[in-house]
Formats: sequence, C-alpha cells, structure tokens
Amino acid sequence: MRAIIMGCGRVGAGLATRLVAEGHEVTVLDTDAFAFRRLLADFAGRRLVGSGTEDRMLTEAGIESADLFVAVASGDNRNILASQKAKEIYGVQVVVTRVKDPLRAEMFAGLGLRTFSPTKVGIELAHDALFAAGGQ
Amino acid sequence: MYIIVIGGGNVGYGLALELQRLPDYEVTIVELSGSRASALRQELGEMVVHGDGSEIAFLEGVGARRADLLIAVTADDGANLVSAQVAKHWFKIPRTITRVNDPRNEPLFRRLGIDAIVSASGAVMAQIEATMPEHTLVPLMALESAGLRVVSMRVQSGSAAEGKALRDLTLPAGVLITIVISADGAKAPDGSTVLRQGDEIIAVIPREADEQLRAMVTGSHPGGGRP
Amino acid sequence: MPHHALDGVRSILVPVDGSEAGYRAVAVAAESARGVKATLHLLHVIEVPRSIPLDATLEGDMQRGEGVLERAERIAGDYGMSVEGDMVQARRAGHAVVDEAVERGVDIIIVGVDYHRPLGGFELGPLPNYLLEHAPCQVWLIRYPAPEARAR
Repeated sequence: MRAIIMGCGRVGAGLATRLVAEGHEVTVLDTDAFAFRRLLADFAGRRLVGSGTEDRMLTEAGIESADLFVAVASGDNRNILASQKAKEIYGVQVVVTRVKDPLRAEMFAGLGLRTFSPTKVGIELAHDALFAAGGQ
Repeated sequence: MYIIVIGGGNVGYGLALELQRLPDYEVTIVELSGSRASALRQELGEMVVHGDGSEIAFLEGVGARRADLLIAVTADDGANLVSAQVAKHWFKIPRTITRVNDPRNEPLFRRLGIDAIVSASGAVMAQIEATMPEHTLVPLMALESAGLRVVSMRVQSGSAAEGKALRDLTLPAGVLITIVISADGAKAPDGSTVLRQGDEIIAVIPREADEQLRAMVTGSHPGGGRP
Repeated sequence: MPHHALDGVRSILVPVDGSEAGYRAVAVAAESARGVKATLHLLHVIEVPRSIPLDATLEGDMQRGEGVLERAERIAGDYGMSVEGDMVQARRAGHAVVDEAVERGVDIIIVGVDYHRPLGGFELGPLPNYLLEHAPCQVWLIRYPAPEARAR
C-alpha cells in the first residue's frame, strides 16, 4: 500500500523502515532535512523536505493516491491539521495521528481520527510494570 | 456575555482593545508565549492569561464551559483549528470564530463546520456583529485609525459583481468581503461564493477603495450596458 | 519638633486574607492610623477562578470573608479604631487592592506576609509582588518570621 509518514523522528523513521520491509511504498516528510539521518542510507522509500500541513507538499508526496497517512511530527496541533486534511480533503482511507495530550487524543478519536496518545500509553505501561507479577 | 480569545498577537490585541470597552462583555485573552503574555498584561490587565489555548484542561480552567463565544486568532492554523473544534465539540460553546492564516486551509475549516475567516481584527469584529445581532454595539474605532472601514453594500443588477464567484472578481487591493447575506441567510463566503442581485455584502476595506468597490457592486458594468 | 514618619498620612489600607501576618499588619496599621488621626480601611478579596463568572454568589467564601473581616475589625477596635471592612470579588487580589487604593486615595497600603518556602525556595507571593509594582502609594511590607524561627 502507499503510505505517507509525516515526521521523521524516532517513531516516524522506525515505522517507515518497518513499512518498507513489509513491502509498502513509503514517503517520509519532515521540515528538517537533518531528521532523515535516522533512516538507513539504503532506505528504499522516498524522503521529502517540507511540511505535511501544506497542500503543495502533500500533493508532491502523492496524497491523492495514498492509502495510509500517519502524522507523527512533534506538535499535536500540526498532526491534527494534517490528518484532518488527509482524511477530509484528500479522502485517505486510513489516517493515524499521534496526539500527546490524552484528552485531545480522545476528542479527535471521537471525530473519526485514529489517534493514539504516547502519554496515555506510557502511563499504562509504567503502571502495569509497577504491579507486574514477579516484580520484586 | 463571556468571550475567550485565543492568541494575543496583533489581531487578538486589536480585538481586546475593542472588547474591553464594552461593559457587558467579559473577555479572557489566552497567549501561549509567557513574555508576550506579561507584556500584554501590563497594558490590558487581568484579562490576559498565559497558557495553551488548544489544551482542553487549560481551557476548562479559564471557564470554557460558560463561554458564549470562542475566537481563535493565533498565527498558527493548526492551533486555531484545534481550539475551534475543542470549543465546539468538547465544551459546546455556541459560537466560534476562527482565523485562517493560509487561505489554502480554508476548505478544510469549512468542511469541518468551523466559521473561518481570513482576517484582520476588524474583520473579526464585523463577524462578531453579524453573528450576534443581539450585541450590535461593537465600536469599530480602531479600524478607522488604521485607515480601514466596514462597509455594507447591496449587489445591484447589471453590476460587474453580479453573478460572479468571489474568486473571479478582481477586488481592489486590501478589500476583504467578510459576510454575504443572501435570501438564505448570512454566511462567511469563500472563493466559490457567487454574488446575486439583492445580496448584501459586508466588507472591511481600505478607505480609498470605497468608490472602486461600490462601482463594482452597485454600478453598471464599465465594459457593457452603457453605449 | 521632630519630623514625624507619618506626616501627611490621611488614610491607610490593609488587605486581609485570613493569615496571621495579615492580622498583625492590621494592628500595625491601626496603631499608626490612630497616632495621626488617619482613617483605616480593611479589604478582603475573594479570588474568583475564571471557570465561574466574576459576580457569582460564593456563599462559602463570603461567610469566610465575613469572619476574616470581623476578626480584623476587632483588632482595629482594640486600638480604638472603629472600622467597617469591605469585601470584593476579583480575578486577582492585587488588582482589586490597587483599585481600592486608587479609589479611596489611600496614602499607605500595609501588607503582612508570612515567611514561607512553598517549593523549597522563598516566595513573596503574587499579592505583595503586584502591589510593589503597581500601587500608586507607599507600600509597607511586613514580613513575619516562620513559626519555628519565632519559637527559637
């Protein structure tokens, strides 16, 4: 499938590498070219320098024929703006959005985005680890 | 009447100056930058609050639940978009007015049901007046001092503007049509809005553009009609 | 004749929030005011969070405020000063105190603060800070030692 990943941080880069390995056609967007250092030199996907909130960049990344859009850039609001654009304007079928603020993640999930909150996940994991069976 | 303004930049500041004159309005200005917030507080006092106006927990604390209107006018379209949706869907604030900095984001805002305008503070004020006819006494003095004015004109038959979509009109420089009132009611127009005879437009314009705009909207077509 | 420290002082304002330091400041103010026949004003400010309207009726806070003012009035009475305190609602106390000082044209605001280190470091608190910066008149700040220091 064709995937666009907005944000080449550790999550974006890791996900891009994995999707390529799974045989998907991947384009990674980041406003900072230096972020692409996180991808291997022989990364088989496309790298594009630019903002995923801008229509011009989204078009260049092939949003019109994309099946998957993942927003994992640094700001919650930018991720939400880009994701809603991908879904509402370009009709991308699957849109996944990272929203750090748990309340905002919950609200936009209610509005139809597939959001996840690393904050919330982190709290759950830490809590489970505290009371894990066999913990000393 | 409680209004929350998100963004203490030039637009938010201009709005605050206007709104604080009005005795029946309680206003809170939310500014993300701490230094900008303290500078604004020096001038505007306790109405200025430092915080993130797109964060639900923070908005709760400044009374979003009892707000009648939320106006998002930061320079960041993502923040404005999120604040407006949080206002609408989480806090059920009856009205929102949202600034779009990049006109290319306008279709998205509209599709999501957000009252969006590409704006200067004067345009926001005009929008407040139009969306809340029960509160029509908003003074527009600041516009005057900036060389701007808010005008209302009715589209005449045979004028250059009649039957045209806004995007196909070459408006005089600086003219901003903020509201079109047609038989269907008032709406914030976009490029595809077509002006019909009898529609009323409300626009923020540089003073000197008045005559030219009036000729377009109410005069007859310069190229045709007349021999 | 020696120069009197309070020459020309006609009125003194004391904000009272229910703290011990606030009440002790009332005593200082009352004694000072009596000496020069100045008037004394007491003000209690209810700080209203933005989540509720400024003019909301806050029964609990008002009752507490009445209690604070009554005690402050009694202290002033001990110095022979008959005072009726005022209570107002505001978003921040500093703003209300300065407004009151301007409106009444007071010459001195006397504010008492308890020594405290809420986060490990000394903090003066928002009210004294605001008054020092914005009050149009003299501000007397009396900082009382922490209880344990007093006991030593």
